[in-house]
Amino acid sequence: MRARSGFNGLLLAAALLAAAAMGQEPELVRVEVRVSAVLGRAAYVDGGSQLGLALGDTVRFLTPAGAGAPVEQGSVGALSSSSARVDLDLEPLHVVPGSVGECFVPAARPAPQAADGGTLPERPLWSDAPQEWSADMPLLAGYEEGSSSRPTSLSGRTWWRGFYTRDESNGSRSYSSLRLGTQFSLENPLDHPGQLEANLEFSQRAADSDDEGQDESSSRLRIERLSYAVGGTRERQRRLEFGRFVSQDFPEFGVLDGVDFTWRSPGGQRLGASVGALPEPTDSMSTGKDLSAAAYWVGSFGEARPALALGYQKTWHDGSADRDLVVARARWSPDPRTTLSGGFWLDLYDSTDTLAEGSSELTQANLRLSRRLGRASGLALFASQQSFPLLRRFEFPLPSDAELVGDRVTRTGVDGWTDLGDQVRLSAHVQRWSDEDAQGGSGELRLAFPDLFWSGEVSLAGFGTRQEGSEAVGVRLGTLWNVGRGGLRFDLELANQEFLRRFGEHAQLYQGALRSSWDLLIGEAWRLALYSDLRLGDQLDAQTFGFHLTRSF
Amino acid sequence: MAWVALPFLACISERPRTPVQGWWAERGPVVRHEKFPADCRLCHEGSDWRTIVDDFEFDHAGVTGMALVGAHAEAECLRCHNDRGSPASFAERGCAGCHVDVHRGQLGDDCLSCHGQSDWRARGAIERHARTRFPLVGSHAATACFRCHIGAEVGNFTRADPDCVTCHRDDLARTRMPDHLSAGFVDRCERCHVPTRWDGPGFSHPGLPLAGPHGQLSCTDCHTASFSTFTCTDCHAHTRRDMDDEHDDVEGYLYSTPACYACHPDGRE
Repeated sequence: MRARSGFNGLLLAAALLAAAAMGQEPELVRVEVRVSAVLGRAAYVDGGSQLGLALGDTVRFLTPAGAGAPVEQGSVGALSSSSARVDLDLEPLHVVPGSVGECFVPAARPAPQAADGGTLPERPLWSDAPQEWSADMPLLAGYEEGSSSRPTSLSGRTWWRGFYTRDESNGSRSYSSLRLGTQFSLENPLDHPGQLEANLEFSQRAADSDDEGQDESSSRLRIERLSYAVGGTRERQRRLEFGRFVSQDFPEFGVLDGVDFTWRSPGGQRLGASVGALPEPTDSMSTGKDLSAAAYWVGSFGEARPALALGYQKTWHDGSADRDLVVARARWSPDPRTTLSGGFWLDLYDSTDTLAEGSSELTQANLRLSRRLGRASGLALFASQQSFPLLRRFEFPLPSDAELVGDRVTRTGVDGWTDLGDQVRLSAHVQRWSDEDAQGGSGELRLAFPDLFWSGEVSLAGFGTRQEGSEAVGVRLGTLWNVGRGGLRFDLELANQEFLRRFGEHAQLYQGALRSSWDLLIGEAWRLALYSDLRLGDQLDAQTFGFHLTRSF
Repeated sequence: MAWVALPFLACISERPRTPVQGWWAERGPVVRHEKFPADCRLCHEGSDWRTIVDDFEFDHAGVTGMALVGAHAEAECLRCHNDRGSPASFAERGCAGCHVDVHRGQLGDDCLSCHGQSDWRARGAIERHARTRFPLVGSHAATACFRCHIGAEVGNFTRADPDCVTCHRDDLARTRMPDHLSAGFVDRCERCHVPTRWDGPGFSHPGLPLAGPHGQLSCTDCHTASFSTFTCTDCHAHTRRDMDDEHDDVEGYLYSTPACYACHPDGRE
């Protein structure tokens, strides 16, 4: 549409030039439009190219009564055959829906053309009578949940993915994984007003090693989600979900084999509670040893105001009281450019938690502030802290008592990006961490050149890491070719690793990686990714090959 | 069985692709338009509610401030604008407003640092691992995620302890030259070893080079009591009689470890 409009603009310019050359003023006709919406400094009007408007035309808006002098004006920034967006010169003062605008267009302006070059068909005038409707009603009446007005529908995706890694760096090891899964949503099954959600996966994985006792192999059919939910729509304030699922409002409480009930107030606040068993957060997802009861509140206060959430979870492990967890989180976008988000997890301890050093522990906290600066720049600051909670539940790989009590890691960092002209994007990442034993940090500076030599991108990045006893510097050269409906990507990484050991001696290793991937769309529904990762260098000889095939339905 | 059943389900579940902008019966007549422009002709054909004008174009980024990137640009409008709630009520929670957070809130809300928007496959995990306390050096970069992150397949990547012994407890127990457990060498492996191999170029004996006959010895031949002390006089090659004979012309000679090391710091004659 825009290209066509641009072409029309050229024709108009040519016509005007020709008229000027002939010493004639082009004949102009007045076109009247009406404002249908105002968003920021954009006014949408009910006339488009069929009325003769074109990009760049000046539209002057009259006083609300429509009979006064023009009070504000703007230029057509986008248009369709029957509507246009007028970018106002100033913030709108008097332009409101219903305001009348006028535009003088050449009578000889050529008619808009369809994409195939033909003339656009005339649309019939609006013939439907206005309906009685208010803002608190669905636009179209007659909706009945679970009735034939909303037939059963199925959507989702199926995936096959796998990889094989062979590592000959120090002895011989190999890893392999094959995963086949499907995730689907069945709405209104059997005309019942609900939603069946499923996420099932069959996985096989294996690790073979020269090292004694290091082999493993397993096959699992895992049900990650199988739940049924009713309600929660605009018309139904109560929502009930049961089965195996992650709470929509509080994923922090983990996967639940149970039931979750939510009530939403007319003002948008939600109160909820859940009860059930907690499957282990491992590939087995074995369930039954841990029970959970939780309650939560989610507060929504409208645009540009913070969204808050507060929840409490009590768990039992093998019949014994285990975790008392308070979770709070907030997200606030005071303006479209700025987002502040964060949250914390507070574990409460009692006398049965013999290792606890106090009655509570901040086991997780994170804060992130991101802000777009101008059209092509941005900055994000983040900070987080994590420590092991004292749990009876099996969640971590055998931390010792000392690790449980003393381990704490804090991270702070900044991300930034900016476009240096049309063809160069600069991004940077700096992060620092500290824990109970050491501290360190990392940084990366990346230059990306989109469409430099071909459709795609070329990038060059330098990076470094440093912590007690080791440091590394390296470069990464990346290329992306957009080929057809896919992309070919190659990345070459070279790094120099240095290690300072106990007696002040250095060891130095040069290591590198060549990664490649080929992503492509097949038809409307298939997406295939093939990838490889070759690792070479001092004491390093490993290769990975993998694929990822997805089909949407 | 599953290997057969699931692809079969995928293949028979062909559904005509619905237009990105459009309405169809499966979605139900439920979309509210209260914030839409009052002029229906902006979107609809005059004679048919279901048909969107053929040159419909909506500048989602310009109007709403939220650009539709990757798969979002291809998604049906009604996937978000439906009767489940206002899009703003989901958007205020970020990605987790619509997508289930399988990481249980433990990885923060900056999903795009790992995931793309065209598909959900995470990319660049090994490179980003360099930002953690445990950069993936050597074979670690070729090790399957599930070997350290026991819940990797269900999105649980948190809290893998970076201490070497968390994964290498068996290696520690197998050590004999020296026996690390009995010597108390049970943590901070990086002080002596590099992360590529246990016997690599990581450890070079400080002070006295382990060249020649010394290179054939067991650590405990010299470090008989602990690894902070050593003895030169307790082995068969340095018996007192042999040493006395060899040093009978050396003034101030003493048959003691400090005296040996004072004159022979490199272990050579």
